[in-house]
Amino acid sequence: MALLTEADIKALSEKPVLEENELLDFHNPPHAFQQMFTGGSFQTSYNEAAMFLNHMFDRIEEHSGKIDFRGKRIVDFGCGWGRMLRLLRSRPELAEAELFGCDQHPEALRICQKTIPNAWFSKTTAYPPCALRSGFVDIVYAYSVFTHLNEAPHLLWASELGRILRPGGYACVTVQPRDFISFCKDFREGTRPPKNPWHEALAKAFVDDVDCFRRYDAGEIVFDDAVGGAGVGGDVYGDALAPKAFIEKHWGRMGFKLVDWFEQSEPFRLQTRALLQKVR
Amino acid sequence: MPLLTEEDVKSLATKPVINETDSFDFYNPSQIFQEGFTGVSFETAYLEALRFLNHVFEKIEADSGPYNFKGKRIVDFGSGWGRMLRLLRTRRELDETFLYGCEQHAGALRLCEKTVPRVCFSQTSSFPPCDLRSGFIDLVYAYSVFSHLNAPPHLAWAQEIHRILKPGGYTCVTVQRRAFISLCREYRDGSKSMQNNWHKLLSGAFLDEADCLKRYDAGELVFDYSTGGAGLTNDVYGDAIVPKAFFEKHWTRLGFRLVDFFEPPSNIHAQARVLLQKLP
Repeated sequence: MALLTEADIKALSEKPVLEENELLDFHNPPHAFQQMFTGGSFQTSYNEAAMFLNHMFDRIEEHSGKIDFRGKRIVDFGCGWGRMLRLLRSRPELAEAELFGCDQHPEALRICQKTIPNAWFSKTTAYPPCALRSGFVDIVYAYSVFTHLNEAPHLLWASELGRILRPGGYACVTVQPRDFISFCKDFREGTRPPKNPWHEALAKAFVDDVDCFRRYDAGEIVFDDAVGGAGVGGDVYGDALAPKAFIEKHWGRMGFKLVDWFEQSEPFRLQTRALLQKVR
Repeated sequence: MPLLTEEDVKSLATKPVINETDSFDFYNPSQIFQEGFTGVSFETAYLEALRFLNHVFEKIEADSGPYNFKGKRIVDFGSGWGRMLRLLRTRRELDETFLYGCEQHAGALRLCEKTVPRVCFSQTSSFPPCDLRSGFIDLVYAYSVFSHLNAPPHLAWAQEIHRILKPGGYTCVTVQRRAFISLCREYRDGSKSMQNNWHKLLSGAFLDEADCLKRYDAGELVFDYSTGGAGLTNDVYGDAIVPKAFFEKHWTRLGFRLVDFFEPPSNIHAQARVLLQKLP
């Protein structure tokens, strides 16, 4: 049975909105603040988070048996406003798990600190290090982080996640799938109507689609800074497609084994999820 | 000129008291909550913190020249309700300084997270490790922490502070001084009047005064668990009187240089302040 249920989502979605004069456990940030991170908010946003977390735990359990969360240290790398940590923290199974959040966005961290009990937050910058101790962590996940990183920060953060994980620990990261190139082309050619400013920005990304496909199929990371954002330089942050071969080669070199590669194309358009285990 | 002024103290001491439904930056915990930590509250508590912090920075500057706060990483080890971090966070000189708080008291951490902005907090337990990465920190201070630790946790935490400090980084810790043994006897024989419950507990501590003094003068850490508290077992937490010779022997062996051992002359019962540097 899935760890997180629709009831969890409902309970969290119905918590009051965080106002300036009331800062209580599990209060939500305002709609506009949530939307800044992944485009969704409240139930939609929690739903996406629960799907990702359930998927990750399912795959880990398939690989190494039932997870005993007691004493486990779990890091949400790029925690944003903390929707995933809120979900985890509200589960009794994780009452004795230690939860950590890292993000570069100071306001998001502040909201997380005020509203998420018993979780520890630290600020990261565009490049490593993070503040956490080596060999300390059992599971680190990064949702919609490596989907935005150029090759140099991607590799440096992969190495950093390897540093903080204990041997045998897991990392689950998401990347954009191959058909993201076509997705952008569809907006450009008008075959798919843009529904928001992000779609309009994507129309300008990965313009030479033939070359992008070639590079992707050759195992290269394919990066475009047309969308930009996140207050980070265009050499670091944009949209990134990383093929399975890239993850296997480079993360493998850093002591990871690729455990699972989950790719889902249209109509769902989910980010591809790579589960890796630190083996040495 | 000292870094922190009485104006800083006044400004913080007059912030409103926090309650369950509002949590603003720099709101204070209630008087009773503050007193649970050092017996004092508001202006008195901030003043005590100010004196300690100013002393730390003055002694560091005397040892190695003007202290440039930009980019420095400072840890308040045993941050309690955060009075010292509040003071530091309000200073413009430290706008670009990374502040960290470590504490074992869950309620104090939660309160700090709600009311102290731009500080990363994490929970520690009786023995190391803490969450922070090795060689990461420029300064660790621990006010009224080692004054309570028995020799095994004292030495374990000394080693842990060494681990997280950068080479050349400083640590300042406080311990009870020799006169504390006689103070307890004075409460016991009535030559000093007891003014609170803590004094009453102290009257039952360090009963064999002559033996305690002998051991102190021989360079031993002298520990008594009569006052107990802090939710820790009595082999860990009590009152600890630590001579200079103990630091010279044990901290030096760990790779520290003793920079300064200061016993405030104005108050014979004030804790001794010990400044050490991790050897480069």
